[in-house]
Amino acid sequence: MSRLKYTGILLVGAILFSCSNDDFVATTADNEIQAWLDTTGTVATRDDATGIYYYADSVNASGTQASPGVVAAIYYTLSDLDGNVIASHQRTNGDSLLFKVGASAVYPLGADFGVSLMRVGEIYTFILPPSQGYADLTSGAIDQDLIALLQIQLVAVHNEADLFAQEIVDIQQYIDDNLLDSLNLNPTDSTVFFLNNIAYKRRSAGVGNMPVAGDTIEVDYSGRFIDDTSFDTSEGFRWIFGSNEPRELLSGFEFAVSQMQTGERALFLVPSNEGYRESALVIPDFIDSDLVEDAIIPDYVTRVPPYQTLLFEITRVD
Amino acid sequence: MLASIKRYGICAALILISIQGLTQDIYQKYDIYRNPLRVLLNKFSITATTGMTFTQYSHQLEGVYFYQNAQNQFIFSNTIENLGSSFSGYTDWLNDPQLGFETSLEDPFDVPFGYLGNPVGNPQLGDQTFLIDTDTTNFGFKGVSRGVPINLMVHYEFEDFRIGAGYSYELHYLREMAPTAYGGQVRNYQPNIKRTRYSRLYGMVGYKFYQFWSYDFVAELQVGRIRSGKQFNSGAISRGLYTNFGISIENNWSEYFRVIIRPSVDFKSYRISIPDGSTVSYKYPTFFIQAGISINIPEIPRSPMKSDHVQLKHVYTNPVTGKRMEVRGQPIHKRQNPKVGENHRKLWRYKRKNKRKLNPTKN
Repeated sequence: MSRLKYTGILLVGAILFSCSNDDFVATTADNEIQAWLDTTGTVATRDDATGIYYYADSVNASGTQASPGVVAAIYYTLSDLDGNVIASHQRTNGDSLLFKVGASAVYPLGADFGVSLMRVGEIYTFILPPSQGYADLTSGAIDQDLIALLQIQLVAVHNEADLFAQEIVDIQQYIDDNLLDSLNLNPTDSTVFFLNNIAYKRRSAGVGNMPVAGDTIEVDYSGRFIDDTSFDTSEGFRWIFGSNEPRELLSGFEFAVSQMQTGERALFLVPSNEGYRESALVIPDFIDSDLVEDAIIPDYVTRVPPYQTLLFEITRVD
Repeated sequence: MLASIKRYGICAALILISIQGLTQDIYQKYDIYRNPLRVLLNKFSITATTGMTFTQYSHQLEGVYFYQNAQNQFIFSNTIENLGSSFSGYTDWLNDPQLGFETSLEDPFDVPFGYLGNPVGNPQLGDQTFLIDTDTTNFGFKGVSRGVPINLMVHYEFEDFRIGAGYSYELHYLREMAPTAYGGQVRNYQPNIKRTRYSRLYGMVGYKFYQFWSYDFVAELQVGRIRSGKQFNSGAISRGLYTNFGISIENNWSEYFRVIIRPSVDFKSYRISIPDGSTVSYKYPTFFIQAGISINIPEIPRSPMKSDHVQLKHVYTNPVTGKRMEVRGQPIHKRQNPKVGENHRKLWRYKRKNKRKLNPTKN
C-alpha cells in the first residue's frame, strides 16, 4: 500500500514537473474562463485549436462573411473578466478601425481569428486566453496573463483593391483642393501620375542626373497623411540607392527619389499599395510602443495606420 | 648561444649512445653482428597518434563598437568620434577582417524603410539592430570547434626522462560562437569558413613519473609553433609560441611496442589586427584526446629461418657465410624474452567457438 502511495505521488509529481509554464498558464486560464462562464451563466463556444471562447451578442445571418484577405472595419470594447473596461473605440470616437483579415495584421492575433467568424452587422464577444491575447505583456491597465474580454462589432468589410482605388480618388481630390496643378500658385510643373499611381509635384528644379544604383543619396524629408497630419520628418537621411542596405526602403519612397535631381524639392503622394499597405491595427493603441520594444510589431505601425496615403515633401540634398 | 646549446646537446647525446655502446662488448667478443643503423634507430621511439580536438575560441571585444543589423555583424574602432547616421565596419574578425557594407543606424523597421508582410509577430522583427561600445561592458563571443589531429613524434629516452620533437597536422572544423552577453539580442557569430587546418612543429620534454604493471605515466610538455591554413589571414594575425601539457598513458606490450592514450591541453593565443587600427585578442586552448602507438625499431631482425621456433632472442649462424647474428623469435608487439605463458595467456583452444567452454585460465 505504501509503495502504491509513493508511486502515485511520484507519478503526479512527474506529470506536474513535465508541464511547461506555458501549459500551466493555459490550463489555469482555461479553468478561470470556465469558472467565469459558470458564475455569469454565459454560454460560449470554445475553439479547441486556439482556446478562444466566443458568443454572439448580435447576429446578422445575411451579412457578408469576413473571409481572409478582406479588410474588416470594426469597433471594439476591451475589458477584463471583472467587467473593467480597459479601452474602447466606438462610433462616437470616430471612424471604424481597419485591418486585413488573415494577414497577421492585428494585435492581439486572437482578434484575427475572431473576426474571421463574423458577418457584417454582427457583434461577438471573444474571451481571449493569454496565448491568444496579451501573453505576458504588462502595459497600462493590461496586466500580465490577462484574460481579455474583447467585444467586436463588424461594421463593414472592404476589398483591398477598392481601398486602393479610393486612395487614388482622394489623391486627385487633394491635388484639386490644394491647387497643385495651378502653375500660378505652385510653379515649375503640373502634377504627374506614374503607373504605380504615385503622384509627383515638383516644387523646385534641381541639377544633374537622376540617382542610379550605388549612388549615395542624402535627402531631407517630411511625411504627412492626406489630412496633413505629420507622421515623420528627417534631415540628412542617407543611404546607398538601390542597395537594400541595411534593409530595403519603402518602395514608394525610393521610387520618388529616383525621379529627383540634386537640389530638387518635390511633393510625392504615395498610395498605400506603394506604402505600408495594411500596416497593423493594435488593440488598444496605447500598447504599441511596448509591442515595438518587445519586437512584436514593426516601428512604422506606431506611425502609420492601415491603408494610409503618405505625402512626402522631399529635398534631395546630394 | 643557440648554436652552442645545439653543439653541447649533440655531444651529450653521442656520449650517452657511446656509454650504451660499452655494454655491447659481448657482441665484439663473440663476433655477433648487429646492424649499427638499427642499433642507433632503436634508441628513438616513434609515436603516431590521432583522436579528437576540442578548441574553445573566446575573445573579449575591447576598443571597438560592435554593431549588428538584420544581415551582418560588424566591429570598428571606437576612436571614431562621430559615427554619423551611416558608417562601415569590419566583418570576419575571427580570421580575415573584411570591410563590410556601409550601413545605417536607422531602425530598419521604421519609416521610410520597407513594408513588412504579416507584421505582427514576424520573426524578422527579432533581427533587431544592436550597437554597443565594448569598452562599456564585457562583451565577446566564444564557441567550441572540433578537429581531427594526426601527430607524429620522435623522442629519445634516458632514465625516466625523454626529449624529442614532432609534427602535428589537424583538420579543424569551425563552428559558430555564442555571445558572452546580450544573448537575447545578439546573434551567434558565424565564421565565414567551415574548415581550416593547423600544423604544429614542436619540441618536447617528458618525465616518466609513475609505473603500474605494464603501464607508464609520462608527463610531457611541448612547446612549438603553430600555423593555420590560408583561411586565416597570416598578414593580419600574430601568434606566439604555443604550449601543450599532457599525460601520456602508455601500455607497454613489449620492449618495442606501446599503445598510448594521451589527453592533453594546448595553451595558445593570437591577435588579429583590424585595418582601422583596432585589434582583437583570441585565446583558443585546445583539449586533445588522442590514442595511438609508439614503437622502437628493433635493433635485431626476426630469425630468417622459417623452422626456427626459438622464442627468445638468440644467435643465428648463417649456414652459407658462417656469420653470426642476434635475432628475435617474437614479433615486435610481443615480449621478446617471454616467461612461460606471458605472451599467450589464453590458449587457442579456448578461443572463438570454444569460448564458452570450460576455461581453467578464468578461474
